[in-house]
Amino acid sequence: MFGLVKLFDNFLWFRPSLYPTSMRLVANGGLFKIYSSPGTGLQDFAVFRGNECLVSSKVISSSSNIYEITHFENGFSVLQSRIRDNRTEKRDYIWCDVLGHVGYFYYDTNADGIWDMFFNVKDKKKYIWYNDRWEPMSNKKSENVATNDSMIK
Amino acid sequence: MDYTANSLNQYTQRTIPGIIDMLGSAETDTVVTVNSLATTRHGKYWYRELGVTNSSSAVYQSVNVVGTYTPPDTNDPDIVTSVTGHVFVAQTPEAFTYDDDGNLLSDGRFNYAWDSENRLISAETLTNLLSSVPRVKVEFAYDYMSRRVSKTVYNLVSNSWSQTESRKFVYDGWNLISERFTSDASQTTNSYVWGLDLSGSLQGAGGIGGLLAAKLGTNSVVYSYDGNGNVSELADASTGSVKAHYEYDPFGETLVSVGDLASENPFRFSTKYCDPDCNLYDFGMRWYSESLGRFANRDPIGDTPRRGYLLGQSINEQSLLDYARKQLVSEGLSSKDIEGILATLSQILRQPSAPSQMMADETDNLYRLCGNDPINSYDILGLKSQDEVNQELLNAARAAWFAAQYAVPGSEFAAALEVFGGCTNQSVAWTTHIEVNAPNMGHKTSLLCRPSIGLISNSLGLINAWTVTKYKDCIADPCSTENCDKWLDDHNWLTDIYNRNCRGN
Repeated sequence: MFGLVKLFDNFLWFRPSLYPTSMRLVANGGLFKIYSSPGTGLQDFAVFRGNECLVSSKVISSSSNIYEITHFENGFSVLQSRIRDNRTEKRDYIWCDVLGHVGYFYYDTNADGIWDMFFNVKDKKKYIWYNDRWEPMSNKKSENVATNDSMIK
Repeated sequence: MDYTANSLNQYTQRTIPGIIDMLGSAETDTVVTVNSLATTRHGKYWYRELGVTNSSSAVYQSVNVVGTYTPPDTNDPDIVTSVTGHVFVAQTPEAFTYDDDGNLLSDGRFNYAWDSENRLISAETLTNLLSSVPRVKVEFAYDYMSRRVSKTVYNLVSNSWSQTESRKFVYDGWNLISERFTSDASQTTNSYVWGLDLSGSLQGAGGIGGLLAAKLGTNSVVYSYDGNGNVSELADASTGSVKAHYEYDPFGETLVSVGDLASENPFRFSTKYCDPDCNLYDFGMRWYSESLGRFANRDPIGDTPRRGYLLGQSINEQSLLDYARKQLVSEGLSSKDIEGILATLSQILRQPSAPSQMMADETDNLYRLCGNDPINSYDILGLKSQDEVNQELLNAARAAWFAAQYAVPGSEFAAALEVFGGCTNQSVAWTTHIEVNAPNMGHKTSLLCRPSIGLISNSLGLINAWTVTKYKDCIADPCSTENCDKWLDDHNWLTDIYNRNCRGN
């Protein structure tokens, strides 16, 4: 798609590797480069523009056909989707400020297209989408599951 | 004992003191003698040193331990307990020989035979020992994974071998779950139940510390361990009474073995199967000599690679491929997948490396080439997860940061960045894993390790993205007991490094 030239497989040994991953350069065209893990079937891969990663895919389970795709923006990950058997299982959005520091997360835990959990990094507060608005959840791990009582005002 | 080693670091001989240490415990009002000689007492413990002459030949010393209790103030007869056995003491010096593959061929008592895959197939008493030393022969057979599946014991009767025992072994993975043996015309079955081993998984630490219970013939027992996963006690599953007690020296030699089932139970040091007929422990791919304190055969993962190996002369190629094949077979891959992977690996191993790619010197071994830490990680195959690799890189950067901060304040950003290879691509030598995706394995497996030329591409960005993902997932997991803020700290630190050095590059 970028007019990449696929490199000759037999010389995998000499290929630049994408440290610290096991991926190696498999295609090269101008600014764009594709790295992939050696092997057949489902594989990790990453697409780079110069030094900047645009999108990467990581295999979570080959047998269950689960992988995770991460989209990057300005070098920082912004959207992660976990896919099982070609169906999106969950989706997370990561917002970073102009300096690249993570600001908050949105979670779509069932991939129905609606963000159902929100975490504000600044005040370390977690919210859940309930009754058409964000309701705060306890920060304590053991109390992370909001109860009906706590959410009904 | 004084040990002598050859240039291959193999023991060629050791001196054997002409003494036998006998020790045990008995009630303090019981008089204990060893071969009619008085013992030294310390509370319940007793000790006696027996002298033997082993300078001209091995000794098979008969030992008789007698405990006598005299009831006080009565005319009742003494209560006498007597135990008789033998102790073998090799001739001094005891010589060791090896084949070209480094397998132990003989010691002071046995000749050993190994098959072409360096598996022990027989052990037989030396023929030049005194006639009082029992002549035995033990034969082993293995399955496709090199698990021992049978053992046959013979005694020499009228100059011909007579079978005295036959055992069959059944496994779950590498864990022995059943053994059936026929001895003296009677048939017995031992069954074993395994739980989580020291790694927290069923077989991650080779089952060490993971054997929960067993049925030894008609006896049901449960196991307890010391901190290193050595079997220390067997308790009766019904009454809780101690059926066996073991103590070991640091290298696994048994110091104490007492109890009704002490000899019947085969799992002892490192929860490994002890073969009393030839004093070796079955560690799966290797046999361990408790007496020598070292393995009787080399590690099939490979030995110290020479520079030639690193230069691509492939001196270890075949053994590496053989090992890879065993691992793939054990993972249950199809023949087609295995042959495809091995063909690729073979190509990779045949590629000569440029001298600039050398990462290791002659003292390095495969573990170190992988950056592996087998002592602390139980990672006998040299495998590492991506998380571990990432964490190590992060740790290295942290270490560089603090070192630079101490040495030259203000240089810490650059020092940490250097660990990640700077802001732009750089060609550097790195040790990488060869990872293989196999559809039937359900996961990726890193097979072997080789030093190679690598291009650090935006590893700072990748690691940073990884810390954000870990933080995000940690926050979302209500069951996590992890300190999520650690990941946020790492992320902010990496982002600062990027902003300070790389933004706008």
